Amino acid sequence: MTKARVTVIEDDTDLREAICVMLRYEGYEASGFSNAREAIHRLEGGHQSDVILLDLMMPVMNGWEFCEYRAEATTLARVPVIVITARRAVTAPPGVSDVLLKPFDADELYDAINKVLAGSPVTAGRQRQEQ
Amino acid sequence: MSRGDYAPDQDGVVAEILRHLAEIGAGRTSITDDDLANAPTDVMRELLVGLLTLHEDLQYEQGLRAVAEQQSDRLVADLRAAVTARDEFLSIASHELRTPLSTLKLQTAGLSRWLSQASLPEHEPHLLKHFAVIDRQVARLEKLTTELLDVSRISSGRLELHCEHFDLVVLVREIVERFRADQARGSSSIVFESAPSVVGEWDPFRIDQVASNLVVNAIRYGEGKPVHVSVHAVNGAARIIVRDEGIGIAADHKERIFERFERAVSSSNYGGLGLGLWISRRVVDAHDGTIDVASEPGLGATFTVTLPLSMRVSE
Repeated sequence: MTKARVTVIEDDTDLREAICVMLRYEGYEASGFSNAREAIHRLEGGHQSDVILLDLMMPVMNGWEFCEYRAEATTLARVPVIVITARRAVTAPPGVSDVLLKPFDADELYDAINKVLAGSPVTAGRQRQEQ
Repeated sequence: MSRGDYAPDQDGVVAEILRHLAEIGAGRTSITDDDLANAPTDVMRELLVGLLTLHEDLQYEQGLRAVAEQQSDRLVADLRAAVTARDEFLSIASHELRTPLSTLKLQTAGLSRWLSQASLPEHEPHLLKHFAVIDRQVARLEKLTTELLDVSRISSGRLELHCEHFDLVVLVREIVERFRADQARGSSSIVFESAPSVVGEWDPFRIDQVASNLVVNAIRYGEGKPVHVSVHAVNGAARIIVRDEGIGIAADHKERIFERFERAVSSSNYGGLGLGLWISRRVVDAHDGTIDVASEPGLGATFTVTLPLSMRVSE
């Protein structure tokens, strides 16, 4: 059973894959992207996602730029975003649901996702899945 | 030459010398080569030469002083820049370390999941042992990077408290339990004693950091003898006392141990960054509390943290 579909946008390959693997172990469907532009391309091309895990400092298109774009994009704006960052004092981009501080462990990762999913309105993608 | 040479107009000469001295004092002189050539007497000429020399000496010294001041201004600016660069570097380095640490934590969690499911009766004890070490070392790396980050945060005045209402006894008991779980590795036993509860407003993450740090030190420098931890309320304040019976601290080191990168022991015998007590003191200060140490070399050390039950709210 798939719990939820998680999009992981993180430029560090090892961390991205570790997050995806741990999510899959727990029953989530996880797709990883090394930069925000690639993720936008796929998400707008029909890739369904219930929550987005977003690193902030990334090449090509960073997390802040992604959030600026998301605010204007109707498809993306519906998907809640959890920022993953090492900076406690960082100003999270507007519209972000939660901030997950590095170094986080697997339980903190699951908790953050479940919390956001519990509080977020059901996305179009989920409704289709549940029908 | 006799004194009679300048007797006729002694007052005039004295007045002129005073005028020249006043000028020299103000950093200038009106004595010219012509004045020297046309000096009415030899004595007067010698006096004028003396005054000129005095003026030149003063000017020279003033020049030296100006150069020295310029150099020290530059040195101070260079030092400030170096300190800023160091703090920025610490901040960047400790942030950079957090990404690989996240990967390590997730990978160890993944490994632990497999180990718990794997049926490898022959190799499992070895795997579990290796795994436990990795897990412990990851936690240690995390603590070290947190300390580095705290240095840059505290140095630049960015230590923020997130205070909550909680029972200090519960928190410290948890810390003690955490360390007791490690006792299999042969370190000191911990004796915990407390009031039923001591409730107040503090930053739980930071107070955990302070108390853990004191317990770590007590175990590290405790020579394997028992460590005593207590929590009580005294005169409207909470008091955490951590006492060991180990190597102790010499009197001249009692203040130094609260400084950055300082330890009372040789770094070739004991590891660590020398930041724990410095961070602890800053955290306790931020809570309007105090941290003190009493110790006799060879008889152990007693660290006392006193925290007001709630902080004064500044208007």
